[in-house]
Amino acid sequence: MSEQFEPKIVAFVCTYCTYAGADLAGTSRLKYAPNVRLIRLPCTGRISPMFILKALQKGADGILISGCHPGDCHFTHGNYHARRRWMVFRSLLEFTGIPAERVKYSWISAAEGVKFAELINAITEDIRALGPFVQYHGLVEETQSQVSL
Amino acid sequence: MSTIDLTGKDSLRHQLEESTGNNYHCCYQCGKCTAGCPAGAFMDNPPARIMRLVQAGAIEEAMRSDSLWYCVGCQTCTARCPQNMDIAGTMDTLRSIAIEKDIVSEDRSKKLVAAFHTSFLNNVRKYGRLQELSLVNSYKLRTKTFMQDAGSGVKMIMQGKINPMHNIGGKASVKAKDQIEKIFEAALKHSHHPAPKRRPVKKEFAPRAPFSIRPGMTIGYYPGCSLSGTAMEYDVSVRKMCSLLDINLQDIKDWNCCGATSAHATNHKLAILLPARNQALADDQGFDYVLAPCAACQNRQVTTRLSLKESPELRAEIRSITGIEPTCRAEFIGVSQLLESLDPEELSKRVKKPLEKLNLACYYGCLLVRPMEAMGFDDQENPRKMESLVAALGANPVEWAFKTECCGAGLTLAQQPLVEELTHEIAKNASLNGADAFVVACPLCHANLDMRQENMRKRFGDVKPMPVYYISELVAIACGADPAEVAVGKHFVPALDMVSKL
Amino acid sequence: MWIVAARCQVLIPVIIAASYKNIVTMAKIGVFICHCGENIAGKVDTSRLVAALEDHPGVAVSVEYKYFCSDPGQESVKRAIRENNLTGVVVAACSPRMHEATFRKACAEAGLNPYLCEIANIREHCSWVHTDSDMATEKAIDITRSIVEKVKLNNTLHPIEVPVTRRALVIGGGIAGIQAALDIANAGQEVVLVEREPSLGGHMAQLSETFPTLDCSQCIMTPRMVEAAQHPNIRLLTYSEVESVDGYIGNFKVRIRMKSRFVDTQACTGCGDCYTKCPVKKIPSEFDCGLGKRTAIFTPFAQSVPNNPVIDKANCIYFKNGKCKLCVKACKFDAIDFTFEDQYLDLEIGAIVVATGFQVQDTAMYGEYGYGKYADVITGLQFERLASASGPTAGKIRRPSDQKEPQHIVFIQCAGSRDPSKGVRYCSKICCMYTAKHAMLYTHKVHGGKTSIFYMDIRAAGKGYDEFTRRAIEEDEASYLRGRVSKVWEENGKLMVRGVDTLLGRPVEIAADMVVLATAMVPQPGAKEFAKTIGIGYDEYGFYNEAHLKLRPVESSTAGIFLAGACQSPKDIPDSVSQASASASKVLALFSKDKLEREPVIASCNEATCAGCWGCVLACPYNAIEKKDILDRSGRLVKQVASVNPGLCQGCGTCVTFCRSNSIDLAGFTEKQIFAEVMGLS
Repeated sequence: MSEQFEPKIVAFVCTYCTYAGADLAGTSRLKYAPNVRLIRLPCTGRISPMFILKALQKGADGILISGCHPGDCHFTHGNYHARRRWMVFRSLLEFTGIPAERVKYSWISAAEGVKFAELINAITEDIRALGPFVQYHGLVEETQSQVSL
Repeated sequence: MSTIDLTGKDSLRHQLEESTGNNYHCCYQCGKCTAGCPAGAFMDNPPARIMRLVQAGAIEEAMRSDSLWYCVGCQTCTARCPQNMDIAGTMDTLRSIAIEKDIVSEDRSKKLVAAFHTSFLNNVRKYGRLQELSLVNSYKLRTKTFMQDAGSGVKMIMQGKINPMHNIGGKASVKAKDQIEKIFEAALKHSHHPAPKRRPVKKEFAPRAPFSIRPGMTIGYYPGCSLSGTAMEYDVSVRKMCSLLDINLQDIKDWNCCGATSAHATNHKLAILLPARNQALADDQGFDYVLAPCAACQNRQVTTRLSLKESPELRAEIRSITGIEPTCRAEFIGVSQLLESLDPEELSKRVKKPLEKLNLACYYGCLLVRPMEAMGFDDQENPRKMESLVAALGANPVEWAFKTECCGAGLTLAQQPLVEELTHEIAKNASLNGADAFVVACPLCHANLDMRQENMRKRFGDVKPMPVYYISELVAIACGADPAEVAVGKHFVPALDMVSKL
Repeated sequence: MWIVAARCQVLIPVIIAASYKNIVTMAKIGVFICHCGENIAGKVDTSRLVAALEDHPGVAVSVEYKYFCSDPGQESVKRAIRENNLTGVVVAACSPRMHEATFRKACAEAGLNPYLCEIANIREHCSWVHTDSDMATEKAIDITRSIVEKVKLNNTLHPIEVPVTRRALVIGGGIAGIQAALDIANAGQEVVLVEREPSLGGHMAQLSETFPTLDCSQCIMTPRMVEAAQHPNIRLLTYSEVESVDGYIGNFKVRIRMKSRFVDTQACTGCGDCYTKCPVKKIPSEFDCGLGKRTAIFTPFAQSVPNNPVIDKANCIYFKNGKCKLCVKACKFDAIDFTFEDQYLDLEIGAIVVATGFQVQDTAMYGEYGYGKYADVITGLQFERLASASGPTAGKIRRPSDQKEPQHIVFIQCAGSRDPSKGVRYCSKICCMYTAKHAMLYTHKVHGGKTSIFYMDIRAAGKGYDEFTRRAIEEDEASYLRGRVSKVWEENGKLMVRGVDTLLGRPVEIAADMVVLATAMVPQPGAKEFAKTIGIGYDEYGFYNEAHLKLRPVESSTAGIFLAGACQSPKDIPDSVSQASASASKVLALFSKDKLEREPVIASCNEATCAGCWGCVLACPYNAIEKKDILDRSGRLVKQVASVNPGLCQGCGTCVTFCRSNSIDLAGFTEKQIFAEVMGLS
């Protein structure tokens, strides 16, 4: 009996909204899938596309970027920059063949513990359905193999 | 000393929760339902007490209450509940279970009301449509109320509203009687489809998406049982009105009774299956819109259509009974909605005889505006659409406070004293606010306000005679029809004079 | 030229050395795994966690304990630091938002730079939210390892000191704002008090008497208003609004718009000749809630502070068609000038107290109660105006429709609160008390008058409150009926009220002369937009968010901005005054320091590699990045580079992601640290 595939998902979140929302989910003792690892950043504006690629390189099957709702960013407009960056990055991802469904974007505020839990569960199932990101992981192995000259 | 069971784990409570979607813990006993209930003063356990009995686990006591038999089904309680609970649905479900388990009130009113529902449904089962004379006969036999409405009955036969020949000839009954029989059989089996869960959330009125009907179009027509019988004026005037507006009406072939009050007061599944067959027929016959002038019929059809859209099991069941899969494309609309959907110029250019100096109280009744989410027609506390229509015809609609307060609806035979009380309140307020006559869009409201008015005036002695017009009659008259042509002469309260002077 | 190059060459190795210091020297990280009682240990297998981290490269110490945040827990951490010469600390416990500060302080006391301490969140993000023990433990191990990898690259950082501007801004001149301003001013600090309306006073000035003492509201308030206006430390700006707030704690920059009164307040003596002569007399008075009238040039009420009128441009004849000017003719002091314009004032502010108050809900949303349709259905605040001696009826209770004295008044409590179907779930706290008060005031004024009060519950929890409501019932014979009202309509000059007495179990119908709806307190219109202007959080209704509901009720979610009064949640006068004094104490604590210490989580730019593209300058929301000239020895410009102002930078990191040359980086969340954190995951 094969074990169910457990996706690995890395989430880059901002401290003031989504991280706080995740904390609220915790204090409310909501239950959600354990497949996500949160990387805390001060603001989504800090999130570089390189982090996403690094996470995929490390073996992630899915990525989540989540920050404050438009208008509510603790640093006034870091999240707008993040969103614009994300638009461009998505086109780049599609161009390179990385399915855009594996990299997700959301707004979650510090008061939205329930939404956070629901989102994690939904994303886990989405990525589970897509399966492990073998193409990318295969590429990484290739680049890490010894070069013979 | 009774122990209150607050754990609420028994199966009856569960059944109530499933069929209404209520979480009975949410009721905080504010009593607003009782306060607004037209029949509240008549009940041993008014609505809030019924909810408390359910909360406290004393469900059998609730079932034995005579409240269930005074409930008129106007849904005012559900509409105004701050915690968004369905009290009307609780009453209906308690009543169905009470009938099923035969745990019922000993009150005489129960016997009368139950007899009415039984007679009604037996009649529909036999003919597919309501034969009013047999209904009345059957009811009188069961309840020995021979003298009630004796005079009115004769008058109606003379006017042709009740045609004894119909029973014998079988002319006005459904052809596919086997399908009706299958519906009644299926209704005995419980559906396992729980109602969507209700939570205390904000309710806001959102009007349904506007649509437009243009002169020259053909739309479906669902007269319903009363328009073929005692509410004949409505049928005549609607057809005349549509011809004057250049709208073609095509009757739905082989339509059946929608079940009206009796079905939904006693058996939830029957209350959906009967209208669902009409929906399937309308879809199959290719209609986008079906005019259902009776507010009760329209209400049943609209709520059923919503249930059908959400439940593939229900659609499958209808398919197995009728052979048609309902697509739910056809929408059932009322007369006011039809008029509203016309381009305002189409109406105003056809008005030849403006209804000047006619002071009218627009009476919506309860079912045109409730439930708010399903009907999407107008604000349920202060609707204004009929007033706009009537003003466009040149009349003077008055501002009054009882636009949506129930007239007693389907309990007209079984709870006549209650109906008289309610219609008295309505007529008094309309008259105090300057109205000379009513405008209605429902045959049941018409019957209660018109047929029962003389008795009501005799009993209370403080209201002047007030004619009751159907909106279709007024539109037809304003567009040039002769009042007698649209059967205004057939009303109980003389109504010809007021509109002939124009 | 070569000297500059040489300098750069020196700079680079220094920078590189600094950032690689922790890798070059052997990393000795201490991992402290907290049980948090059963909160973590109940789901996560902490012994497995300890073992896994023990084996992790760079970890010198891996231990567990029941409550690391406790005194003995913290002592053990400090001991471990000293005994093992730890180069970094990771505490695997609750959220960093709980105890990062606690543990950083402990590290500092043990001699380790506090910024070499990080928290791995294995409670809120792990033990509390997962059901499978194995998977939760795996996740906890993963999280902790990843933070260990990050800490290896942490740099020692030192707090930045910024000056504090010792000037407070209080927004809102109601009782809360006045109290806060007076408390701060009396402590010797400067206050600017801004009020939107032409006069101080807020809603308290509209009340007739206050519960439970039945003090005359204006009598107790006006001395405070005058004190605030005359206090040497308070600069009062009425008829003014806050346009924008920039900056941060200790260093806010605020722009205030002083709306034009068209009256010179220096010349004006408040004699009132102008409004006596004004021909436009029928404007519904906002202060009287529409029950009275005012003129186009007016003061809101007789005891206004300052007692200078304003001209309502929209209704003034002169502004509409250039005629009239009767007020100018009447004024003996030449104080009226139609050419005055709005003025803007830019202020430097150290702390802000938000006391913007509430408004009364629009009960027209209850179609069934007929508010707005029937003149004799009024709100609680309108009743206050009727009862007030300085109100439109000089304190006599009169029906708005025909000015007759009502003989029977029905009060409906919870008209707009505790009603999820209308979108207002909360209890408005004061309505039970003010309704009892209204019933009492009415029966004192109208002997033989009857009152019926429909209620769901009686909430009278303050000092002397329950006794007050019992007085209304027992002595003033108010008739309380338990149940909500379903409908109100007018018939023959009477208001028919259809309610219920749930204690009797019967519907009840009353023919009343007047109906008073105890309307809920809701946030001011525009509260949410205003919150966005200042930069504080708000809830679904528009009430402002406190930092912690229990323990930090007067601080907003933004440092340096405090809350007082009904803008935070519905409350009565004693609570508003308490909150105001509490906010004032927070402000005074802030002003008690000469300098404010700021977190050093800020950006810095490597001047050697910066190309001067200014992407970061555009990105920065705080304009914290300046263009710096790099000069050679002879003073010639070599290039311009970005330079971060440590006083302004808030540490968001948006600039870092913009930088094309990887020159700018954010301390505490450097590129390398984040990469290490990601690569530290399994």
